[in-house]
Amino acid sequence: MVQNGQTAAERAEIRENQVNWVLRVRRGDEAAMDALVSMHRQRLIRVASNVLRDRHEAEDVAQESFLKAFREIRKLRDDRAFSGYIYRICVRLCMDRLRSRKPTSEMIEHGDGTSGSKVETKVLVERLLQELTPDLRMTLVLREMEELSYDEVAELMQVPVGTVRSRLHAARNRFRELWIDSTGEAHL
Amino acid sequence: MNEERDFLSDLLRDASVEVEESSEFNDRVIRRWKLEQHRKKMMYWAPTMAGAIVAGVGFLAMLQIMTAQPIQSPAELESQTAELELPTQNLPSLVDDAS
Repeated sequence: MVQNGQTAAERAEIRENQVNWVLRVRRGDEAAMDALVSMHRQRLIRVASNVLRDRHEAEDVAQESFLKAFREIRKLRDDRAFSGYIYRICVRLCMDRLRSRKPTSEMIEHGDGTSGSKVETKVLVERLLQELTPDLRMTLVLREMEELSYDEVAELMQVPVGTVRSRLHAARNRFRELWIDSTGEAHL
Repeated sequence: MNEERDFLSDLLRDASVEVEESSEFNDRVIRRWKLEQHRKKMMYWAPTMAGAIVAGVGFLAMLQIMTAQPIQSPAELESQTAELELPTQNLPSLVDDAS
């Protein structure tokens, strides 16, 4: 989980701080918890928002992820791995939420998806994403919106890289079909 | 094919959610954590507290039994009430007879 725009020295310092905070969280230090939350909250909320498409639910999932991580921090063998650990928890909780959602029977309106405004396109993309199965949606979001590598997606979803590739292929094809159905444009 | 993929990637990236910084988020997490710990402590001590309450009630009941009068039979009770009956006929009248 490499953050963009940081030098190697900065990354090393952040990693060291994080190890220190994890150690303190193990002893129940609330200031260290606060520091870890500040460090990861934005990314966690963004991932959850992109997957769930609901700001409030995303915040709730992010909070739940932190609580679960702090509760089970004794299970974490390597303190340097907290980043991956918290994102894995968040992804799992998002998947649980998606699976527990009732499938919507909302019909996709046929119209000019790309010729409309940016907002309209965004709304359409959101609705098309909801048509995908939880596994396909999560893979597509992590790869395309979060711009993670195949290995990172595989690690977060705890599946082999080959599965990520095949899911991504299926997700793109399904999304393309839905896009064509909804906009009538065949160039995607 | 690559063009299509790029278009799809751009489309999805544009639809990515912008996250606003929420200052209350950290407080909410810490508050929920504290509440959870408090609840955990309560759950841990609940059996001990329940045991202490039961023991206390038992102790009070025992004290009550030990200090209470022995229960009397109906025959004994009747003889006692007969003894306690006041000789009302010899008592002076409080009402003025002349009036």
